Amino acid sequence: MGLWYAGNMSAPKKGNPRQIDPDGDVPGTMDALVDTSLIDEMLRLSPEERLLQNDRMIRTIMELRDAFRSI
Amino acid sequence: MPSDPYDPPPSGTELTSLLELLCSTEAEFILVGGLAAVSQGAPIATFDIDIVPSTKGSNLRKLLDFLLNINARHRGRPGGQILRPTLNDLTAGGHCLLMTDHGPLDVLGSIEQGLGYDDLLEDSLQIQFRGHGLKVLKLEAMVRMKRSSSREKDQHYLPLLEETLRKSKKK
Repeated sequence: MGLWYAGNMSAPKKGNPRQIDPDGDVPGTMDALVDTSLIDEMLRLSPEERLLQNDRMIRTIMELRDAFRSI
Repeated sequence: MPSDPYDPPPSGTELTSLLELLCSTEAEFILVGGLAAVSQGAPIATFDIDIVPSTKGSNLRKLLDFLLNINARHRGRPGGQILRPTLNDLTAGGHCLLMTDHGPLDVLGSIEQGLGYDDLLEDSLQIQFRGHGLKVLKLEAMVRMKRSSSREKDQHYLPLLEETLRKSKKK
């Protein structure tokens, strides 16, 4: 699948394992790896709305791609 | 193999339209991959639809008829050669990476260590999508599979999927 992450994410580095709090939000843990506010926004939507959001993101990326090609 | 994220589909692609058409065929399949993750709240953009179809009865025939109707052809053929999917392609159990008039569609015989439709069924949930019941691979199962995967790309997305799963459980 062709995936783009809609935020700032980096893979965990060796020797620096991810810390995941199983029960609650802990500042400075997952936020360092993913923009958790984007997840909150997505979870507010219905499944169909999330799929439509993906279409919108694709359209935006296409437009940027086409604009870049026309330079 | 997955499509190259740096080679997005043509402008005008709407995966929701393709998914709706797919659902209207009443072919049995499970939505997997990026779009399955998106439907469950993962904030990613994905350019194709990945499905694992049932191989029972006339399901693959039904799916093939649909694919041919939407001008499906194998992606990445040398010299722009057009190669249509066949029933043999679908029954072989491999990955058919297709481009259609409505966008890219990957028909996967199995995923992760050979898990086919019947294996994935218990790890799927049904969501309502435009009047259709759509089977989707659970985020929990995706996380489990990616944890045991050694592919770099899977490890890359794992934190995002884990966090989405954790937050969705809290809701």
